[in-house]
Amino acid sequence: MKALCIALAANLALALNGQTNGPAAEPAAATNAPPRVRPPTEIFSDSSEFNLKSRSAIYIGHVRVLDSQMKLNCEILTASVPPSGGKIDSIIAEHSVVIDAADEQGHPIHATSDRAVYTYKIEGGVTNEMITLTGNPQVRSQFVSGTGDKIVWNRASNSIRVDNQHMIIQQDVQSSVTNAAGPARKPEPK
Amino acid sequence: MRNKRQLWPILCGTLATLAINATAQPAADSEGLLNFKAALENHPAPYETQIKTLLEGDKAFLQSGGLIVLTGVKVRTFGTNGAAEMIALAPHCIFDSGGRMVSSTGFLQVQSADGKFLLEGEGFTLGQTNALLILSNRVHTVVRFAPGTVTQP
Repeated sequence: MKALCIALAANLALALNGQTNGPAAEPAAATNAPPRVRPPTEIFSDSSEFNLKSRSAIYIGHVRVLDSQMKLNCEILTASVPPSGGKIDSIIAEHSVVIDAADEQGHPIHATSDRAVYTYKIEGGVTNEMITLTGNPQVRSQFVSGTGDKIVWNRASNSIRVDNQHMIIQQDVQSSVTNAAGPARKPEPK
Repeated sequence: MRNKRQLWPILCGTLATLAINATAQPAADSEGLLNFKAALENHPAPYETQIKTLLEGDKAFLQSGGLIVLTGVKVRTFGTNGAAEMIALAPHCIFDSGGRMVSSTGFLQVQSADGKFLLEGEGFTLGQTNALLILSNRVHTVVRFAPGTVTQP
């Protein structure tokens, strides 16, 4: 569950903020391979409002975020940049939030919630970066499903907290495949 | 129909009532005015002489009520050092000089000077006093990442 949430939350933050925790591009001379330039992120919506003074953007209606690392659908997406500029300090996705991403092994992750909030701030030299899923948050992957009242990931400490976690289902891959195929076959004679 | 010579003083009079700096030239082939430019906003002190937002139109057509129809529209924003930050392009719009508002039912494309940010949509309103840009339909945003930004492994 923790790994699942980390992968999901990481993708959410990366896609919307254009940041990456991945390693810096290796010098071309060292690998002779072109650097893996990150594809652009696209946001579609019915309408939008940009407040040029408060430096905030609100996307409204059928919001779709398409990113190389995740897809996010919701009805309202709000993002703001601090007055001093720089990194986005707040992203809020609301109403029918659906996130599809992949974990580090490329396995699909599907999450839904009523609300997903990303916050970033530096206080006293300490970075606080949090992602919170609320409103019936559900996270599901090929192997694990989980729900809770609230799922909070602290990116700075890389810790996950699930409030009132009330369901986890772990499926064994092999048994799942066997069950799907019908009765287990007899072992092959050696 | 007013000819260009009649329009020019009207424009000057109109613009004189505005708290903006605007210029335009009489058109050679129609009653529209060429190369309309209006400084919508300057930077606050100590950069008050630097233009922050500049509205431009290839042609301007004066309407009643302080409205100006512009074609070939550009809205550009600049930093305090005069460097371009953002440019917005629209085939046409209405500039409400009294309400200090630019609006259109048509297409709008906004792009940052560094090319990392692109925004487009159909139907827009840009209010100068509230600094609010509203895009009404089919909004599409593209965020490009700086070279060297890599995908997560």
